[in-house]
Amino acid sequence: MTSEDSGSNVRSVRDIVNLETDQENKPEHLHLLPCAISYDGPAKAATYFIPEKKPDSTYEASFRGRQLCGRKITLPRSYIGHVVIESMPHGLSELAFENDVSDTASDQRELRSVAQIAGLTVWEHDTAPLENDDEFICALEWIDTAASIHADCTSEETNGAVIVEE
Amino acid sequence: MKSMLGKHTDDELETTTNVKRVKAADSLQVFRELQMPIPGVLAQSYTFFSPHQAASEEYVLGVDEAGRGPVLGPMVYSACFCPISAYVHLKSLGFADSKQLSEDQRSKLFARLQTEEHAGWAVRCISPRDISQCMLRRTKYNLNSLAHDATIQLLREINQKANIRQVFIDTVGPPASYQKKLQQLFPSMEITVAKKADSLYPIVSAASVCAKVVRDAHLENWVFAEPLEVSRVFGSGYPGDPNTVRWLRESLDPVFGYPSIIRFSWSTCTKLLEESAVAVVWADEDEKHTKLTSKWFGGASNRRTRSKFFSRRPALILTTSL
Repeated sequence: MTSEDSGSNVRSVRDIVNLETDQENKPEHLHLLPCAISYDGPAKAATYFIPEKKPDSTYEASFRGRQLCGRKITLPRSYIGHVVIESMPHGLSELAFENDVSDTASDQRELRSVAQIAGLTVWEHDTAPLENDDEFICALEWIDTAASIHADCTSEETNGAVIVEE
Repeated sequence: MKSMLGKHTDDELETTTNVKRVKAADSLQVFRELQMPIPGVLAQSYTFFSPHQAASEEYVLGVDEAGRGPVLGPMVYSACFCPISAYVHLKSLGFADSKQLSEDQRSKLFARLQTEEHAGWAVRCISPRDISQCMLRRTKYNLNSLAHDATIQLLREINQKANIRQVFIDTVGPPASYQKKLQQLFPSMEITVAKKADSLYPIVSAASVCAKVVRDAHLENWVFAEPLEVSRVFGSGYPGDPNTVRWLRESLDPVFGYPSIIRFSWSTCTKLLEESAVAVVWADEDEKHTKLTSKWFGGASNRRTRSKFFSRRPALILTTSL
């Protein structure tokens, strides 16, 4: 399931993402934990997962006895986050689907939004994720960076220099 | 005066259920007056020093612990100290190994200790949450190190308040190497580390009484940090205690495991979680583990080497149906 397995990160088939969120579902604060939990469904998070803010604006919490250190993430400007669940492509067992997506006949994935994201905290074990090193934080940072380098520059920004294409 | 007080204490040690009820409340009263966090949520470890007027004399000090073995609750290290000249008197109060004393006797001896003018005591109370977190760090920090560090911290801080000469410590691990380690750290003290020190040296017994009273008070008045409705009959925390066994079986949450009273690093706990809770694989413990992010933040292709700037920001573009 890693990128190395799939051989390419260019997706030839368009994935389907349905972002029509059910109005009943309130935006949720998400926690990205540094572990895989073999469970999908409701959990008593509000009871057991109690983050505490530290003086340096990072957070601390415990999960299964381990200390987690977290950093709150702001989403890129003008973007909205969604919690999505994935629908099984037709004719695929869940097992085959989970094992390897890229080897199946249909490369198309279907996602459906179940709630909007009100906020997001990225957690690491023992030490808080670094803003310039955590994979997830950096991936989001790329969105703003990409927008900046593709935006038109004003003459002020280019310090008066004008590039003329011949 | 001293002998009168000593006799008074002997009388008090005769137990009746009535006295016991009064005495248990007395311990809480002592904690309240000392402004110790009992009862209360014990999330963070803390160190407490009894108010103490140091004499200029040389002191004798003992260190012992309570709650090293059980799967739940705090581990409490205690030091008790008095001027060497007052040690004979302290011995006469009837301190013995805390396990040989009844809860009521411990409670009375603890209350009695508060009235000793020159005797002082201190506790380092390590919360079960901190025990779990320390033992489950990426770089493991084991229980012996935790115990040694608690003892060293107590010795260091008391040494600034009183002239500590003789030190008796119940051993954690092999006594010889532990004694050598402590002796090097505190060259001005005469340190004796021994097995069963709590039954050999009354000053260690006194420390063991303080540790046990503090641990028991925390458990009897435990306030769960989690807004839970679970049974409070969790027993002693030893695997042989049927109350503990039942509580562990009945209070298990399939996702989160247990509230933070439990030491997650204990094999009693890890076995139960393995059997009855959902599997959790930690990213830093399993190299094959794929981060959740990699499913959609799929990472760079390995066809050509990309600039590190891009490989560190592995976002993929999805097309929406909107």
